[in-house]
Amino acid sequence: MKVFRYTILLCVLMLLFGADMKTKIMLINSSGTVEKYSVAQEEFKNAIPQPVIEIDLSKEKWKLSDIEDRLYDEYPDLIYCIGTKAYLIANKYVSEKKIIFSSIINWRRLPLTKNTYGVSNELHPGFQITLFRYIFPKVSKIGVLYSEEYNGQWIRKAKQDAAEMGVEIIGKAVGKSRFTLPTLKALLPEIEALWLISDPVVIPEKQTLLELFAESDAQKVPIFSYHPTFTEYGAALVVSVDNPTTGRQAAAIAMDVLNNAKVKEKVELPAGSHIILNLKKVKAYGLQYKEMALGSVNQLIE
Amino acid sequence: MVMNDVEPKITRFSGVLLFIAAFLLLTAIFNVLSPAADKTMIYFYSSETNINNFKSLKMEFDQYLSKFGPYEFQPFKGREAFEKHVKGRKNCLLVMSSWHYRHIYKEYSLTPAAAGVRNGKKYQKRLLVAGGAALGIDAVKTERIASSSSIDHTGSVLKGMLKGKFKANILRILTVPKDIDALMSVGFGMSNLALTTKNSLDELTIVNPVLCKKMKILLEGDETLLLILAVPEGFEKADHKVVSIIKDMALNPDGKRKIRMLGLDGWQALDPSDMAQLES
Repeated sequence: MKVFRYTILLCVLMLLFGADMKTKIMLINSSGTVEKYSVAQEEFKNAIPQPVIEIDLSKEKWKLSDIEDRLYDEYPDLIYCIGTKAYLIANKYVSEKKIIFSSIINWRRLPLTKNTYGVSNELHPGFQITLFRYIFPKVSKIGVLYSEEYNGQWIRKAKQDAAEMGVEIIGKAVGKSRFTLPTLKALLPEIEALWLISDPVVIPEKQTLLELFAESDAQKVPIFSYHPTFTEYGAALVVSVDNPTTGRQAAAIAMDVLNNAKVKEKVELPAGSHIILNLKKVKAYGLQYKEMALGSVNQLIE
Repeated sequence: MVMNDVEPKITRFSGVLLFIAAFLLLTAIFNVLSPAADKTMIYFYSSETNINNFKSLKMEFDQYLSKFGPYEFQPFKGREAFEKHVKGRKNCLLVMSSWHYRHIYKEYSLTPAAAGVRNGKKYQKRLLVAGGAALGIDAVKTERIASSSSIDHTGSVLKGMLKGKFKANILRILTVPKDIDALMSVGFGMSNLALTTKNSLDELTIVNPVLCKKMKILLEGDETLLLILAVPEGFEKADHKVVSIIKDMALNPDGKRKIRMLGLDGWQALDPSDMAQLES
């Protein structure tokens, strides 16, 4: 009889501990009103095989102390943070927990710990050049304006990747913002396309951006870039991060971390791309593109 | 007396107003109902490629098809919504993967009208590609697999390729938008494995041969048909004109550009061996 009682007690304890041992996942979205954030949130939730506790920092008038309380009340095993604000809060209060971030521009400026994982917001340069080449096989000389301070290392990597594909990257360093346009004017005659990258020295303000687009347009040099907004200014091709894939990728990292599986890179590069092809500009500049590649284009502008 | 003169005028006026109101109401009802009733819809969903250019696809196909008559293209993002929507509909055509067709053609009483063609071929071969020589087939148990096909489709294809060696439910699949993304995620280290097609690997080899040299083919699947254009039972013969319009898209430069958005460069009729493969 005693053995039977102990067995029952053991089973009850196992059930209780079993419930406690179930991992708890929290998601903090910096702002649910930002489409790319909400898309990543939805995809993350769909890919995770268990309920996720959600906090949308734009929904309620959150005080920092409220969020702190919520974090300690829930005390999740893993937190997925979408956007910088969400990450900084989670890192401030529960940095001892596993934290995964995504959708953050320039993640290297973040305070990181041994528990930080993430999906960066920048595609591998080789990934982008491959897609440029895939759509425009005849473009082989691409110009880039960059500052040594922000993109010196990046441009060397990009040149190396491009060379493997028979593409020459002609990089011109810009020391100060006032030199952006003169440097561009000197660069344009040498190149078949301009690759516009994120660099605060090269483009410190909107006016510089507008002038840069106007000058390239006057010389009929197409601009390839990294953000969908640039199509409004006349970019011929935009290769950006696919936000739904980012959410799924964050979920894959979350499952790896929770299952103690091997994690190759703590911060992964995005695995999915979103392509916008501006056929108006392609036609205006007389560019030849590979029609078969249209199956890979997400949005056509005609 | 004066009142008596005015009264019939008012009655007549009210009658005219009533008639106009009734006419407008009927016109409105007719306008609301008629597009759906008159239009032949072309419904599209591909489990094979994560095509997410729906807005562009719809605009481009609608613009092209409207030149020929009351036809409308409607792409779907998910399988469930697609199947729910098309069930029982007769006045429509369906464009879907051959894998999907095989799964639903009996239940939905479908007949294939044509198969998509790419590089002159109706068939494609699936490949499981690994990033690095050290990885073997056992890697499917532990490594992330990038694929542009839906989870169901990827699992089913891999199950066939692995011939029951591993259970499909242990696979760690990361869905990416395009086949070329799946391959590049292996090339640039975001995944160790990719389920792709020989077509895509060949295309990437032309663009970036150095990257492809770092990859190896672990498994090859059977050849399968590309997208299928299917007709539901009860589709009226008079509407078969639209089948010809779609099949002939490749003969028109504008039409050819549109079907390339589906990753195809034409359509071809199916022969008995294709039918046997499709409905086996």
